[in-house]
Amino acid sequence: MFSYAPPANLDDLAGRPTRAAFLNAWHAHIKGDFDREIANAPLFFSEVSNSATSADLPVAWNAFPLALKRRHPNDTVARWNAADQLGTTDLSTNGTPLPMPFRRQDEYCEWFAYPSSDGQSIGRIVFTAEAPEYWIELARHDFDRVVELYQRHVSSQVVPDDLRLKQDISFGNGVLKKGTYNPYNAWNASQGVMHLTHPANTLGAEINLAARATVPRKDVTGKRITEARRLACGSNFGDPNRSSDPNIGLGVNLTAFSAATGATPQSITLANPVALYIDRIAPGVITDENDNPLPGWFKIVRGTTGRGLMAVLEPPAGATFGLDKVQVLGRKLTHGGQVAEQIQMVLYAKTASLGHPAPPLESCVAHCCRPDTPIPTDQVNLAHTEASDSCSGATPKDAFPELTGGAAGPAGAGGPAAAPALKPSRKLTRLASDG
Amino acid sequence: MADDPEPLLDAGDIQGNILPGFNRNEQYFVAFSCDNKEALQNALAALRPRLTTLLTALDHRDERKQAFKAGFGRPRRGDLWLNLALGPRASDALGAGTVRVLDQAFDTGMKANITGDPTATKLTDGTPNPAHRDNWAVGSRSKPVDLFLIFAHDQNIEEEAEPIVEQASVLLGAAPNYREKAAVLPGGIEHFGFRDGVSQAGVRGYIREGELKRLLTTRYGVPSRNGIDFGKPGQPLVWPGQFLTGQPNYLGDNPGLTPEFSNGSFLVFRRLSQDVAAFDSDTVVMARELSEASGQPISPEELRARIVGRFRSGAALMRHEQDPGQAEGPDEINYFAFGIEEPSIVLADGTAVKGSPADPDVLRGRRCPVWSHIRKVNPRDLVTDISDEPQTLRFQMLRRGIPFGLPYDRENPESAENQKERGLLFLSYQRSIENQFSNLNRRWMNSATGPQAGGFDLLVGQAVGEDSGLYDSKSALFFRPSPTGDEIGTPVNSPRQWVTPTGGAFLFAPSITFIDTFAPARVA
Repeated sequence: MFSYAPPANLDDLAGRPTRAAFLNAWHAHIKGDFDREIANAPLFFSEVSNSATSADLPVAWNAFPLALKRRHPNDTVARWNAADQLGTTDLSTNGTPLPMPFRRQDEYCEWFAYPSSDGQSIGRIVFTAEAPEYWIELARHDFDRVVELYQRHVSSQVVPDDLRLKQDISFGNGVLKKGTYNPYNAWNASQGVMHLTHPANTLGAEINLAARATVPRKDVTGKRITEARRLACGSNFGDPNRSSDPNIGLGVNLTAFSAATGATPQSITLANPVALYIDRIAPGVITDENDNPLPGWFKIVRGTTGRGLMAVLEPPAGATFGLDKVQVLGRKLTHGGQVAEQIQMVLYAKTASLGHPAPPLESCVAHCCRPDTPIPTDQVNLAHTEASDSCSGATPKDAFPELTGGAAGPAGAGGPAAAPALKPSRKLTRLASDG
Repeated sequence: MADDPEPLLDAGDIQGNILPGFNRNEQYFVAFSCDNKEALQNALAALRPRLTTLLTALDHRDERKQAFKAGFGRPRRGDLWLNLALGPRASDALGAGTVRVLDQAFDTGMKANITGDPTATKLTDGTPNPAHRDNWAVGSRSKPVDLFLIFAHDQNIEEEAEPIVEQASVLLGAAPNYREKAAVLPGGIEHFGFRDGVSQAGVRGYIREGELKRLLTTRYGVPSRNGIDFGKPGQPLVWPGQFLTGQPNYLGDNPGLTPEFSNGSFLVFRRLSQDVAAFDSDTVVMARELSEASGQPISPEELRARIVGRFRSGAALMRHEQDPGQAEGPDEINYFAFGIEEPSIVLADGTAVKGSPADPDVLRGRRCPVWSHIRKVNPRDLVTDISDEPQTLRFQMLRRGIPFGLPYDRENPESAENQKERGLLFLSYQRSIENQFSNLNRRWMNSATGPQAGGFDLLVGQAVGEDSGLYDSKSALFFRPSPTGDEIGTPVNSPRQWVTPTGGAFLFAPSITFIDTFAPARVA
C-alpha cells in the first residue's frame, strides 16, 4: 500500500517505539496537503489514489535568493550580507504583535555560518532544505530525539527548554501551542540552523504551488500564458521573485498540458518522498588559495546526493587549514551566500496518463505590481496582488497588464474566472523580497 | 518598444570584431607576453592607426547582405583588418587598473574553477594533460597573454599580417608566444560538420553615417513577445550594455563610466581542440547502444543532430523532424522556441515565415533534448535553474569563433592530415565574463542539471572527476520523440571528451579612446 515517506527516506526514529506512529502521522500530513489541493487542480494527483508511471522528473533551481540578486545586481558583497540578515514575521495568535526571527533565504535553502573556534573567521557553513513541518511532526512524536539531533548537528549546548515555545504562535493555518516545539528557536535562527525558517519555505507551499501550476491560464486576449513570471503572477502561486517558484510552476504547467497543438494532458504529482532537496554543488568551485579543488569539504550529512536535506562545508578530518584559506570561484570565502550561489536545488515530479480531457484555459486570478522605475520588469521585484486590487504605493505599475487588464479583475477583463478566486497564498514571501 | 529611442554608438570608437564581427574568410591570432609600460605604449600607438572599427566592419556586412540577396557568394576585400585585446597585466602596466574592477573573472584569470577545465596536470599514463592550463598552447601561466592581436583578411592572411607582427615584436621587445591561422570552412561549418555561429542576438542602437543615423540591427517587422523585441525572426534585441562597457542596459540606464573605459568589451578566448574521429566513432557506438536499450532505432546521424540540436545544415530540430538537407534562409533558421509555438508571420517586406511547433513534453525534451547543445546554451523561452527568458537573454554573448586546422577527411580516415590538430578558436565578447560566459559554461554546459535537469551537454560540456581531476564520461537521458509513452527514458553516455581546451585567456578589448588615452601617439 502506498505511503508517503519522510523526506529523503530519513529514518530519524529507527529502533524507537515512536517510529510507527510518526510514520503514520507523516503520511497523513502529506496526504492531507495533497487532498486539500486536488479539488481545484484536476491534473494534480496523489499516488495514494493513482500510481505514477514515469521516472522522477527533476526540476532544478539555484539556492541563492534571486530577489536579493535583483536588489543588488552589481554588488555581490551587499547581497551576501543581505542574505545573512534575519527578518522577523508576526506570528501572534491574539492580535498582540509577536515577532519571530526567520532567515531571508527564500529559495528553499537556508544556511548559517558558524564561527571558527577563535571567532576570527568562518568555521563551517551548514545548509538546510528541511521543511519545518517535518520537525514539528517529529517533535510531536519524540521531542527527546529532536533534542538529540540538535545536539548532534547544531550544538552540544542545546537543552530541551531551548526548543520549546514560550507562548502560542500561529503556523500556517494552525497554532503551535506553548510548550511544544518552537521552529523559530534561537538554535535554528540566530545561533544555528536545523531546518527552514522562511515562512514561505514549507512543504505545504511546495504542494500548493505544484497543484496551482497545473492549471493552464490565459491573458485578457485569450492567449495562453507561457512565460514563467506571468504565470506565477496570474496563477497566484509562489513568489514571482524567486528562481524556484516560477521555474517549478512553468515546468509543471507545460508538462501537465504542453503548449504544442493537439497536446495530450498528463497528470502530475510530486514524487515520494515529497521534499525540496539540495542537489549538489557545482564541481570545482571550492578551492584552496592555490586554486586546487577541495573534494570532500562540501558533503551531504542528511539525505544523499541529489536528495540532500542538510549539507556542510567544513574542513575534513586531517585538514591542515580551515575555511579562512578557502576560495569560491577564486575569491576568498567570507559569506555563506557565496557558496549558496553555487548550490543547485531540486524537486522531483512524476506523471501518469489518467485520461483527463484537455483542460480549458482559465483566466488569471491575480496580477503583479512593480515600482515605477525605468528598470526593466525582469530586473525588479514584484508584488503579488489580488486581481481585484489596483497597483499602488511603492509598486504603482502593473507589471503585466495583459493578465487582468490592469486594475480590473478577471471577471471584468477576461470573462468570468472558471476557477474559484484564490487568495494570495504566500503574502509572507514579500518579507523576503522587499523587506 | 520598437519605437523607443536607442543609444547612439560611436562607430569609430568600437573595435569591429565586437560589433558587428569580422566575418572574413581568414583570421590570424597572435599573442605576446609583455608587461613593460613603455613597450606596450609604443606597440599600441603603432597599431592604433591600423585598427578596424565598427564602421568598416559594418560596411562589409552590408556588402555580404547585398551579395546574398543577389545570389552571389561571399564578397572578398583586399584590406587587412586588425583588432586587439589586453590581459590584466597589460592593463595594469598601462595604468588602467580600473579594468580589473569592471570584471571579477578578468581580474582572477581563466582558472579551472570558472571554466570547469580539468585540474590534473598529467594524464593517467603520466604524460602532460593538454587540457590543463599549465600545458596549453596559449595562455599558460608561464606565458600569459598580455597583448592579443586578431587579424582578418580573405586570403593570404599570414603574409599580410606578418609584417605588422614583426613590427609589434620589435616594439614590445618580445617575440609572439602564439601564432595561429584560422579559416572559415566551406559551408560555414565547424569541424564536426555542423553549421556554426547561426544564432546571435541583435544589438540595439544607432550609428551615424555621414548625416544619417542608421540602426545597428535591422528590424524586419517581427512581432514582440512577452516584452522581447526582435530584429530578424528568432533574433532577440538586447541593449548594447550587455556587450560594451559604459553603454546602457535599458532605456534611461547610465553606467557612469568615463570615456576611456567605455566602448570596450571583455573577450573570452578559448582554443578548443576537436577530436573528429572520436566524435564520429563514439556516436556510432552510442547510437547502437541507445537503439538497443530504448527499443527504437536511432541512427548515428540522428543522434548527432540531437546532441547538437540542429541538423548539419543548421536546420533546428524544433523546426524540422527530419533533416531538410539544405540550409534555411536567415528569416527562418532561428525562428523557434522550445516550450511554445512560434506562429507563422509575415514580415514588413511581405515575406512569409513559417512558424514552428512547441516541444510536446518540454521537461523531457522529446523533440529537442534538454541536453542538446543549443538548448543548453540558449534555452530561449524556457525557465532555467537561474531564472527566466529575459535573464537567459542577458547571458547571451557575441560569438566570433572560427575554425583552425584543416578539415577532417572522412573519405580517407587514415590520411596523415587527419592526424593533425583541428578545432575552434572560440571568441566571445561580453560586458561581464562572470555573468555571461561563466554562467553558460559552468552552470549549464558543464552541468547535468542546468539550465534544466536531464543531462550534460554531450558535445562540449566538461565533466571532471572531483578526485581525479580528469574527464569523466558524461550522461544524459534520452526520451523517444513520440508525445506519449516512454516516461522513463534511456541513458545515453559519451565515453570520451570530443572537445578539449588547449588554450585561452580572459581579455579586454578596449575602445580607441582607451588606446589614445593610455598609449598616446608617439612624436616621431
